[in-house]
Amino acid sequence: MAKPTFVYVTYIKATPERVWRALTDADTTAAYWGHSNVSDWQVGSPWEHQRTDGSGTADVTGTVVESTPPSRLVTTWADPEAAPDAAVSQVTFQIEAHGELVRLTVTHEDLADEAERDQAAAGWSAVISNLKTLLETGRALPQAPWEMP
Amino acid sequence: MSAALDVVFKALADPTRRLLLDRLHERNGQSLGELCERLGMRRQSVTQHLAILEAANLVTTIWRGREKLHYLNPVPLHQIQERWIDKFERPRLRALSALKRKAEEET
Repeated sequence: MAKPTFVYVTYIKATPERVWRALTDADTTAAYWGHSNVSDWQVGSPWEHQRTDGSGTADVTGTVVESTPPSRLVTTWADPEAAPDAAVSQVTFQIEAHGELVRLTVTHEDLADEAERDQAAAGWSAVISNLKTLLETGRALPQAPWEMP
Repeated sequence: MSAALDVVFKALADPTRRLLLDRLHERNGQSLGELCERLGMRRQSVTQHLAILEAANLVTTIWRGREKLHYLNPVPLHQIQERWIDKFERPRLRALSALKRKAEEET
């Protein structure tokens, strides 16, 4: 297995089931991610990261590699515009209960180049912060953090 | 939240620990050996500093075979930023730091 490019960890005051739902439910992901994650989350199924502007355009597509609710979800990530043989990266969400908290670990590996790495680095900590805020307060941040100039 | 932040600020208060974070920012996913070598520090000392950074959730570790790799975890820093820096202040702050960099380059 390749060395992961990023390993992000956060502790969220919520149950593993709520965190799982927040990662896999189209409406909930729309509330804090600006995109809906759409799939039936069965191993081998496709998944899409769709825009919430009504176009339904997918900015990321991939396949569900592993799906063990509510503890582990592994998906591949690819640019739908890229050539079919282009590199595919892999994201793992690990959800572990620690008393009243959940430890959410996001691992992103096989990122192709510096540009992809920069994009992922800027994106993940904002998305994870917003997810934590949503689950703990019931509201997402007032502005989308990744739209910050 | 407040106790969790205390740990982060205490971890960041030490120059060696900030240097360790700088090294991980340059290259993520290093082993203890690699970090010691690049810092010219003793293993025991680096191990202690890393433990404090890990407790503050600023560093995350994973095992790859027999090797423990260290990653910079920016999520707590992002939360600090969200707490005190408003979205509308970001362009001004960015302009200020660009100005500072430029001015310091020229001297």
